Amino acid sequence: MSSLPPTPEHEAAPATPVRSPYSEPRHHEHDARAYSPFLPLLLLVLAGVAWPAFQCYQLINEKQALATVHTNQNKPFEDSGKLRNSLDGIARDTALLASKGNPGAKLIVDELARRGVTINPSAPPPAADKK
Amino acid sequence: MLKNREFWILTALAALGLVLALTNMILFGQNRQAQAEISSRAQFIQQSAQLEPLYREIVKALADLSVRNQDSQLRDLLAKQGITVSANPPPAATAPTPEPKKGGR
Repeated sequence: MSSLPPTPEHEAAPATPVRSPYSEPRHHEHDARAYSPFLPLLLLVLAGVAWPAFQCYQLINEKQALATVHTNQNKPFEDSGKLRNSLDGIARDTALLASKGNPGAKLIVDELARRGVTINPSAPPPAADKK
Repeated sequence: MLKNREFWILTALAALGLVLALTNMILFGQNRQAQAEISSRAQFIQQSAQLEPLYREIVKALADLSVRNQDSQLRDLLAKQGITVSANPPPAATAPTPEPKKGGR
């Protein structure tokens, strides 16, 4: 058995020790370099600025649209207040006149009551023009 | 570590973000308040529009009655509201029923 020629396996013994690829990094010099946190922080901060900036833009647009709607409501709102004041005034005076015995006013008050509209003459005048 | 210039760049941007966030909070509150006011005004206008026919009807009835009955109290009531009533008899009418004419509001 000892006279057998050596197999190629025995001859091809490794000259350098075998290392696992996970036991030691292949590019050790790259990992040793320290990265600056500036770029990720910059991206983070930019994202944190861009989102509120977009929201701010949208909110300003919404504010302008609301202001336009508010301005467009001014005239109808004033007219509505005048109408309510007139209606309340005329209804109150009619009710007072009816309570004094005026037949025409009484007829109107009765007709309104028949339709479900009751007039309270002692109610305070409306404050619709406050806004 | 950050360099001096990088630190100040990041700090300025973060401060800008904070200012924008605070501005957004204020704007959001103002817009909500404006929306509530607009909604209440729209409701007021809509309800008043429903009252307008009733108002016209009351005025018309008062004017009719004041002319028909020659009721000075009703005429004064309308005049107090800025409504003047004048009776114009129809030109070729057989029945002399006066027609009230409203105006002056």
